[in-house]
Amino acid sequence: MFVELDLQSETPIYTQLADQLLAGIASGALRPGDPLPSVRSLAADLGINLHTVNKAYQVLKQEGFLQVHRKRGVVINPDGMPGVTAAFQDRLRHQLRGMAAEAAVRGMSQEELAELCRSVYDEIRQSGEGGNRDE
Amino acid sequence: MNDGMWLWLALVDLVILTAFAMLGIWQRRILLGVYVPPAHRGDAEVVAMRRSYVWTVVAVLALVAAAGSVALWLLPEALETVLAGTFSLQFVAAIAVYGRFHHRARALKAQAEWGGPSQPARRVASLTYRRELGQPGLRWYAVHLGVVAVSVVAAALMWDRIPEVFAIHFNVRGEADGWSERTVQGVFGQNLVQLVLIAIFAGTATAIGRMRQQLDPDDPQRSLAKRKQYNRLSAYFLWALSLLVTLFLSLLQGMTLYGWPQRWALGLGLALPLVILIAVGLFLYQLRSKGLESIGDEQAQADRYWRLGGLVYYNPADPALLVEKRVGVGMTVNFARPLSWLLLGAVLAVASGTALIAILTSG
Repeated sequence: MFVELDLQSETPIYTQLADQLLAGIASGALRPGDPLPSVRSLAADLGINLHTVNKAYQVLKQEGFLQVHRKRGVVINPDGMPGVTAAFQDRLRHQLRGMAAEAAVRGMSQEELAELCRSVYDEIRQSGEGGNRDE
Repeated sequence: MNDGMWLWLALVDLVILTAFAMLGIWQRRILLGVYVPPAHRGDAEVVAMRRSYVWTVVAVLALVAAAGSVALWLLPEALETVLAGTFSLQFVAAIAVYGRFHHRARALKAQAEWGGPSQPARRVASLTYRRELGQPGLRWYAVHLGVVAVSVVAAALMWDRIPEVFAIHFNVRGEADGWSERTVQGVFGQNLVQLVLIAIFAGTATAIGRMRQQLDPDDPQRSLAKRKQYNRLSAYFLWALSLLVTLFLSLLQGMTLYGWPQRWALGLGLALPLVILIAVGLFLYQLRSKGLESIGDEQAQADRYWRLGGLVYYNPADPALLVEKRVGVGMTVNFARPLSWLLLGAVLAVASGTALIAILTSG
């Protein structure tokens, strides 16, 4: 699986990286127990700062998506993914609020917004089925 | 001095000459240690400077070689001194020519106002690259260790057949000038050298797989395939070359220990550099024909990160330890990382330690 970053994007680089790793897990391209590159080698591969990669890994680790082993390095949590917690629901609601408000102001219907959510969700889930592993 | 010796010297000189000439033409994006933007790589001045460099190196080295030959003809008894002097002078002269042309290339860059390499805003990396290197693993070096084991076991079994004192070093005239006694160090020293060489080759092959990917954001699949092709080619080459050297050292050990005919040694001494030369030539040809001579690492090519005419890479902002060389073939370390000094020190310590053991064990 490839990760792709846009250094000129408004989205912080560590967020882009974390989002893509999550999308990889969601699509099945990354499975529980799969190893990830070390902080240093991924930073070198992408030509970005060590701390940026470290921050993305730390964020995902704190949420329970990754585990950091002393021997095996960084792996996708083999014990399964964290469920839907109240904190996540709060954060999701908060982030959706702004987008929903703008959609409403622009005249988008509730169904259209829901349909968009559904298609984005399906897109991510299905992107792994076409064989998103490198070769 | 026999004809074989002359051939051998000519071969060594050809290697030195080719190596220095290659520095000027190997990478299209680098002109004598200076980065050339893609639009200017075919410029008349660039092509002319490369050509002029190659001819100057050839002319200067040939001149020194001719002077050395004359000196040898006048003073045949000072063979060793003349040879050492000629080769050293060739090195110094070639480095001076390179330095001169490096400055000319920098002047051309300043005058033509070339920019540095573009820093792409998009970056792509494969997460599974290091698990799918596609190169032979360390297990392949078991073959080499097998050769060493056979040599050691054979020497132990045939201990009584080994002479009390045997020749282990021959001068350029083919006469023995170094002897060793039948001691454990004397007999098995050669095998220690083999093990160190195997470790260095295997370490280099492993290090190639640790180099960063530097994929092209516009075509990650293709650049990843190229990177893997480069890894595979280099790893097989290193494996074969180290096997050749290991076998050669075992044969040499057999000759000194069991009194195999010495003309074999002379023949092998002549054949080994020739075979290595052909192997390196084929390897470089393969790299070149597949367009693998400068893959990736475009970002690391900004001139400000390279010191000493493009030999030393120093970039504190780069987390990579190993980067592609800009002058010549292979890789170098990022001297801004402390680990690089440790690595360099370890390699130097092992190499000089082995040389020291070799000297101490040759009575």
